This record gives sequence, structure tokens and C-alpha cells, in this order.
Amino acid sequence: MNATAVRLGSEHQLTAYILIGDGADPARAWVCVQADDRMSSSSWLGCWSRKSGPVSARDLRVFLALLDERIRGGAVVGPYGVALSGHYFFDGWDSWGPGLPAPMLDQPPSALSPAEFDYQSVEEFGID
Amino acid sequence: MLAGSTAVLVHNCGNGHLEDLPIHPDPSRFHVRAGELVDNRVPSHPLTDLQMHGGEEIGHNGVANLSNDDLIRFGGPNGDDPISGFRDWGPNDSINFPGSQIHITGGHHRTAEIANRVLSGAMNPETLIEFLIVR
Repeated sequence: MNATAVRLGSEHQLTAYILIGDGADPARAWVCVQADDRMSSSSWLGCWSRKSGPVSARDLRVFLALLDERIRGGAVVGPYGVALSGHYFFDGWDSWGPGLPAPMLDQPPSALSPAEFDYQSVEEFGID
Repeated sequence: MLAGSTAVLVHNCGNGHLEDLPIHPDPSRFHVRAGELVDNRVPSHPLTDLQMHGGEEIGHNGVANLSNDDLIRFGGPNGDDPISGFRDWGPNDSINFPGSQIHITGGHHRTAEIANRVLSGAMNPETLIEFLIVR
């Protein structure tokens, strides 16, 4: 499972994983967020998918900046660690909430190996 | 489950923790613990901002503003729209216990809000929720 990892927030250790393709659409772009200490989970804290059409690096950079802004202002630390404080909606993107969206059933966080990622910041994302 | 001082949800370790899950007396329904929705909610479609946060167009204040009691009430706040779905077995599950995956076919917004409340500490993960079986 190929993914790009982008750090979010300032202190909450959340990471956005960018995944392309799912069980229903091989070209659909997904951004799924998980806390670093919950990578063995079978679910994401939140997932967003591109509504339609191809996604560019610029689209992703804009989305990640907006998501980062929401998380910086809204992540909470609950009894199970870091959590999103609410449900975030963005133009051009579908919000699936916490869990494992049916089209992504074979792409849980536990399928990723965090140690293998070269983590980027939102500012670094998409810059060659 | 507690590990030191930090609460830990049971996840990705099969379905043995469902051995003592109460079987619903009505065969058309099944029980889900609120905590299961954190790690095993499988939505079939995305959420909408309007349903989640309300507005004049839909005539309510949004699922995010429901009380815990209204969120888990069978049929929802109006009594005519039960949370629905079905269980399925995940990769590490035993056939001897209920499947750990909770596939959602109705009540996407309520189940998302329940999961977030459990994660933020606003709802007890042991809270039992009645689901209508719908595939």
C-alpha cells in the first residue's frame, strides 16, 4: 500500500496519509488522519476523499493546509489519546468521519509501516 | 481496558472481546458497544455538513448537537429512523464470536458522532446501542 505521510498540527502528533485509489475507484484521492500512537488500529480518526476528477499536488497542498489549520485549532486529547474535536467539511472533498470507509476496507492504518515513511510537513508537501 | 493510566480501546486484535456482548432478544436487531464504533465503523457513504451541524433547510440543529440519549435512542430523536447495518468478520476475527466490523447502512452521522464522543471522553465506550439489521 503506497502512501505519502504529512505531519499535521503542532503538538498532537497526527499524520495525514495520502492514498490514491480504492475498491471502487482506482484514481480517487484519499487523505486519512491517524494519531502516531494508534497506527495499529483498524480505523482512521477521519478520512476525506476527493469528490470527483483527478487531484493535483496543488489541490492536495491547499486541502492539507486547511486540514492542518482545523486540527491546530481543534484537536483534543481524550481518554484514548488525540482525537479530532469535531467533523470537518471542505469544498470539493467528501468527509467520511472516523472509521474505515467501505471503499477503503483493505487500507487500514495497520497496513502501513510508519517507520518506512519520509514524513513531510504541510509546507514541504509537493515541493520537489 | 486500561494500560497504566491511559485508556486503550481494544482494536485490531480480533473479536474475542465480543464474547460477552449481549445478544439482542429481537432477531431483527443487534447490539453494538459505543467503543466499537471508534475502531470498527465501516461507513458506506460520506457525511454532510448540513446533517451534522443542522440548518433551516433540514429543520433541525444537527446530529452533533443531539444529547447522548437522543444519539443512541432506537429510531433516533423522532423514533422512526433507526441506526442500521450489519456485522461482518474482519481479517483477525474468530467465527465463534460476532464479527468485529460494523458496516453502517443507516445512521452514518449518529455513528460518527458517537465515535467522536467516545474518543473525546463524552460518552462511555460500554454504552450499548441497538442497531436494526439491514444489509
